[in-house]
Amino acid sequence: MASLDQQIIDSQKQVAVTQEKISQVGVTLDRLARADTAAAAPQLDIASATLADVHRHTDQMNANIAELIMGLDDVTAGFSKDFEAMRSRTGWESFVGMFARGKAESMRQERLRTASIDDKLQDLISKSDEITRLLTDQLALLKDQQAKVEANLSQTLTDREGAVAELESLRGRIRAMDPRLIELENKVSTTTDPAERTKLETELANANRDHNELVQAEQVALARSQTLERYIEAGKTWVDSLQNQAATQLVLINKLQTDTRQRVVLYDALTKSLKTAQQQDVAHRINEIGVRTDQEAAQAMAGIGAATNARMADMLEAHGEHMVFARKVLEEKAKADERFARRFAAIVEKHDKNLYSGG
Amino acid sequence: MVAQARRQPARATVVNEAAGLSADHREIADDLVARGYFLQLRRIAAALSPALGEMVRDRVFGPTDVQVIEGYIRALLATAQALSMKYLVASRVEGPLSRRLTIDILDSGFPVWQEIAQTAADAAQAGEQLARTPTAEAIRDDMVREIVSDLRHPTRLQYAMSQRMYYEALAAGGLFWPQMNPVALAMGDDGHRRRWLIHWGVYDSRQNLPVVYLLDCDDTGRRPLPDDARRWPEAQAHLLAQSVGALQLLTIAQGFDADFDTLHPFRLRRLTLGPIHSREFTVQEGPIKGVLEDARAAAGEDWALAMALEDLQSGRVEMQSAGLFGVVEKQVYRIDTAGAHGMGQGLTSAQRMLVIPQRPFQALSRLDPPGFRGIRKYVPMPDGRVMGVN
Repeated sequence: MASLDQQIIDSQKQVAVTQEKISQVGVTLDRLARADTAAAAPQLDIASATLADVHRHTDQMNANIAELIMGLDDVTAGFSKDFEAMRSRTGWESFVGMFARGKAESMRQERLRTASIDDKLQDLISKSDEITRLLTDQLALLKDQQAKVEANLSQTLTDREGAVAELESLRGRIRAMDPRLIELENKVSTTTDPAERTKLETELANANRDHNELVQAEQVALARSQTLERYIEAGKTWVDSLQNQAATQLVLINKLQTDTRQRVVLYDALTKSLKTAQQQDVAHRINEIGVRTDQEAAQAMAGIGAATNARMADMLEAHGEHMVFARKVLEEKAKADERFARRFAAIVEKHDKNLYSGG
Repeated sequence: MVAQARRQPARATVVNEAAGLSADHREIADDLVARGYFLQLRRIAAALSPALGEMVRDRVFGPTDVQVIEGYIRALLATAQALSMKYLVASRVEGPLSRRLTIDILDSGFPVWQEIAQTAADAAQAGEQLARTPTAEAIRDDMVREIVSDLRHPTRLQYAMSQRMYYEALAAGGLFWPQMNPVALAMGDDGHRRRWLIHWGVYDSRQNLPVVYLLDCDDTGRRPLPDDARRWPEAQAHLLAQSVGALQLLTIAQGFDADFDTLHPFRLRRLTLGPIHSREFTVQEGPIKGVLEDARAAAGEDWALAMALEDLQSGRVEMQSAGLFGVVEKQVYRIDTAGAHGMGQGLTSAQRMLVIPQRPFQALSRLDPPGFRGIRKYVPMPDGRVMGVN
């Protein structure tokens, strides 16, 4: 599993990079929310650029992890070799079998007695655990970010309400000033008395200054409101994206967990069934014979060996309880597989193609 | 998995085919129930030690056997302790971290094998995990901060703490793993014929029960078996690989006898610890169901632990020629063909024992189901002693 180990390490690195990028987006958005003026606007572009970068990165990362999970599939396919080996004779045993059937059979029995896949199962569980931890870490970060962004978002929504209210009130005051300005302008144009006219002109100039100030304030408020609105847009997109990523992680975790469960259960049941079916009868018969003659024992062993081979299918059927268990696990696996395939159709296809061209 | 997690605890008395694997598995969703379950395991373990003493008096086991068995019970207790930490608050946490203890409720009453396998996988990474997580003090500080300044229940921190303690328990070791490697105890020697008691344990993946094997074995090798770098690892691997519940003792012993010329296994015993029956946690079939229901015992006494001891002894030894000049000993085992228990099972004898607290025992004597008449019962008394009753 050397290459798988390498793949796990690579994915770990990739997750670290992605997590950093995700945090960065959070920080950028955060700064954007705090910024008061339109001067902050360029940051938004940075934010969207980072967002795109993060998306590209997470896609890549998830693709790798999906590959990893399928890689586990290929690795565990090796188990079937172990089962096949338990069932049949090795080349050397067949060769010996040409001269002494009993001897070949007793060699095979000996091999069967020491066969064990427990360490492989343990390895499978811990590999799967490692990948699951990778995925849950990522999921935790996504959830964390989502909570932060959502909190920020609701704060920003309140801010924006305030900004809009301020804008409205400014606009109201500007509108309220208009009649007074028109009135003053009219008065200035109709008044002939110079003293009176100067007084009115000063008044008009003051009113105009106030008006201009209000208009400027309106523009600032408008810019602020627009910035906030853009932040809200970006924030919502980000939350959506985080949610989507979290869903992907869940699909991956689910697939991995059902896979591992299914494999462990099936492989364990199969090994034990094989061991039992192949050995049980032999022991009884040999014990009855004692060690009267070597030849007799060897003959019995060869005969029983052949008979148990034929009976093995029956024995496997007989473990009904476990087959029901296995069936249920298989159903669960099918479900997890389907969800997985839906989300990672492209990768699955590529993986399968590679398999065919490579194999 | 998700669908299963939402399922209410299975209480069906009849296991129907359609329910599949979940029919005899129960996920304990409520952490208080899980705590009750672990408390019960602790109670049973506490009662087992005096019960084993009583079994020595009944000549079921020798004093050495009991020491060995108690070692495995301590390991089981350590596992229960670690698992109780793992699941202390796990069901209260949201998301994929939320996990539930799964036990086998039919003819087991123990956690399913997957739980035990998971502890082994986790133990392999306990060191890294502990290095990665903040220390208990740091977590406690954070908890205080969260309670005082945020006025919140620190569930996530409690979870972090429980996981830390779980990994600490794993790092401390001494748990019952899916496989417990064989250990050889010297039982004296006669010239260069040494005698060993080899014992090992497995957590049976099909019955979800802890099983202890005791093998009495003579050794005619040149070096003592545990010091023999060639034979001992081979023997250990052989024995573990053959520790399959469905294999009869005869099959296991004979295979071992055949594969090791200098080792002479003259007695093999297999002790299955369990199943545990209780009204609260498991589903019963047969007379024990009536007994427990009739007893209506309180939580502390609502249980019964069955133990099965299979025994295979060698009847005689025959010499078999090996190679050109050599001869090797071959055991021919005594197989019980007449007795009810051992017939067709590849055994010399089989014995069942029941450890059952007072209240359910009273119900048992009142109902007196025929199936329990031949079984020796061990009744833990309130004063801590155990009474053996037929």
